[in-house]
Amino acid sequence: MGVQDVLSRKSGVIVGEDVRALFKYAQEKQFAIPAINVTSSSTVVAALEAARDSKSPIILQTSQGGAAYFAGKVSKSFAVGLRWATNRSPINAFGMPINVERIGSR
Amino acid sequence: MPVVLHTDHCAKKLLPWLDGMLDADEAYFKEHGEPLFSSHMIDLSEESVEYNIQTTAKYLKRAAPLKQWLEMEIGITGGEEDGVNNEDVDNNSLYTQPEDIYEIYKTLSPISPYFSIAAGFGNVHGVYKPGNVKLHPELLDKHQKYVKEKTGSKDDKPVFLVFHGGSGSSKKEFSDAISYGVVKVNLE
Repeated sequence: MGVQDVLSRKSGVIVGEDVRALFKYAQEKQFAIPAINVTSSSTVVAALEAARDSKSPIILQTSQGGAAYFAGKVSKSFAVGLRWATNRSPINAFGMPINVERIGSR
Repeated sequence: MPVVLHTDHCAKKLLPWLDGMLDADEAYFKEHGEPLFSSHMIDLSEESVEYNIQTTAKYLKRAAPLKQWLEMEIGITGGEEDGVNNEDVDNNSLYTQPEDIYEIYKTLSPISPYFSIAAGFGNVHGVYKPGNVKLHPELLDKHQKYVKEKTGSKDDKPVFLVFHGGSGSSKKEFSDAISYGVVKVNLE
């Protein structure tokens, strides 16, 4: 029960077929995943905390302006830092079972 | 919990940014067997439909060996975001047609299944909503039905859709859009 069942990687940054599986699961269960713009380590942590507390998958996104602000000229270092923060953050160590939240549910 | 790492709107003048990120994705892939980012967005909705689809296809070809997701946009989202101002755009271009969605689906599917479409259905960026712009999530249903019919797919929702400019929308508008296959909602 839960989105973890369809994912090969249960927590942290997911890629490839897991992304498609997540979206297909969302369509079948009729919910959508929120995409939050992050511009700094504090907004990353805030977003991950929100995901943890609602026990929901989450999309962290950055615009070109946001990435430039966070990392100076090099978007790559922002991305690596963001990946590290997402995978190693104490929030992910909680290993909670996933119950997916519906956005705009009745 | 699972996290998708994604980059937002990349318009034509910012394509060098996307190129640079794909370089980094490919370098990371060589070492780790996966890209740095789960997903990127390319937004050529300001250009001609032809240019949009052909260029998006080129980028999807680059993302495909990395099994990386690409979100694209068609139609225009009104309002202002990241420096692009569409506040006085005429209403018709705010509503994407099913034929365009099918054209995108037909072009991109042979390259990779990993793509989603942000299709305009009356969306406006920013928290305000001009009085004469209305959200029509049922247009998304038209897109799905058209693609299903044209492709003979058994899937009722063959297209992965994205909802931009959702701030200020009602719960019903959200749940309607989601029922028609929206899987990602940008919270602005």
